[in-house]
Amino acid sequence: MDKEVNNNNSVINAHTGDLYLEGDNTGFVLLSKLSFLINLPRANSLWYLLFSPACCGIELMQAGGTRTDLDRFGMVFRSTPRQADVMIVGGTVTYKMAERVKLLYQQMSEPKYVISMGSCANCGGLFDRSYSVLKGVDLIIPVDIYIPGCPPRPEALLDGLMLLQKKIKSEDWGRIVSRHKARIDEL
Amino acid sequence: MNISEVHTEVKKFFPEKISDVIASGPLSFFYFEPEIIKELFLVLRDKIGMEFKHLSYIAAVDNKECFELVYCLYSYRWGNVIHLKTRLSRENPIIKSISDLFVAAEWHEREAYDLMGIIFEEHPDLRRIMMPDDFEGHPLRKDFKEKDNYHGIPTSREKILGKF
Repeated sequence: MDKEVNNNNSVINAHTGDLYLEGDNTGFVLLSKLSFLINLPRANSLWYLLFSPACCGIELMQAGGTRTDLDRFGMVFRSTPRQADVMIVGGTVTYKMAERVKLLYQQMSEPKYVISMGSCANCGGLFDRSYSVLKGVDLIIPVDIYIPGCPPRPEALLDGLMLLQKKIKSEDWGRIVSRHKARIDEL
Repeated sequence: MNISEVHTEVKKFFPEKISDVIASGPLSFFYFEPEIIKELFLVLRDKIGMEFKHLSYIAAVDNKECFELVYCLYSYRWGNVIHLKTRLSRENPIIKSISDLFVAAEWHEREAYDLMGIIFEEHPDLRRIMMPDDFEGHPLRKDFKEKDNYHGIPTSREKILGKF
């Protein structure tokens, strides 16, 4: 831990710039922003929905394997949308599936995030002229992170998840609550 | 038993209703009239010496003047495939189902109905197999026009890089 000990025997942790520890030998006082304290565990326990419409799901499984181990980021899959924080739309979404994707998204509890993984989910990709494929999942649900690739490698997915962590850490808790209320009003 | 041997055998049963063999290498085929389909396939399946017991696939082709159905049969006894074709009119594409002779035909016919709009009479369960049940039109027809939206979801996307 990076410490700076000043003359008053108080310790300041400058590691993150957000967290300050002050105190003497008998104990510490912890000073921080509420958003930081809330966002830190949120960003490090991203549970993703066990759901993937097409072949990017194979790379998603691979990303959960030993080489790019998602578990070390606190990411585990949940089989129900009500327990999931992030939905990774990995693959081609057909119109038939699109309504199910939207239903799954609506069942997730706030705050919720969506990662669009692969060309098909980004913009239709290879199936741009198809009669049955949705041209981008952002036409039905809001997307936070887009990962290009066909399919993206596990490293790319990991990069996207780390970007999402960065986004979550930069969020203001009050704004999340108000966004939540706005979404409920929309329904 | 290759296609020309099959042709001479079948010609004895349906002399008027079958065209000559059209040579195209291993994919040689002959046309048959749609009304004899059940009798023809019964002969191909059950006559001693033919025994084409396995239906590999049914394909539907839209060649603008008419629809073509391609039936591919396989014989375990002889170890070869034969292809048979039939023509249906665009206005009234109706043919008898062979799903009582070949169980595999059931889903292939549903697929041909779903994507090409060919109606198979006496099919036990003729409904869409891949597209949503309320989808309008048959998407593999050449004159298919895609709708602007499906259940309020737009079916096209603005190209940020312009047209290609």
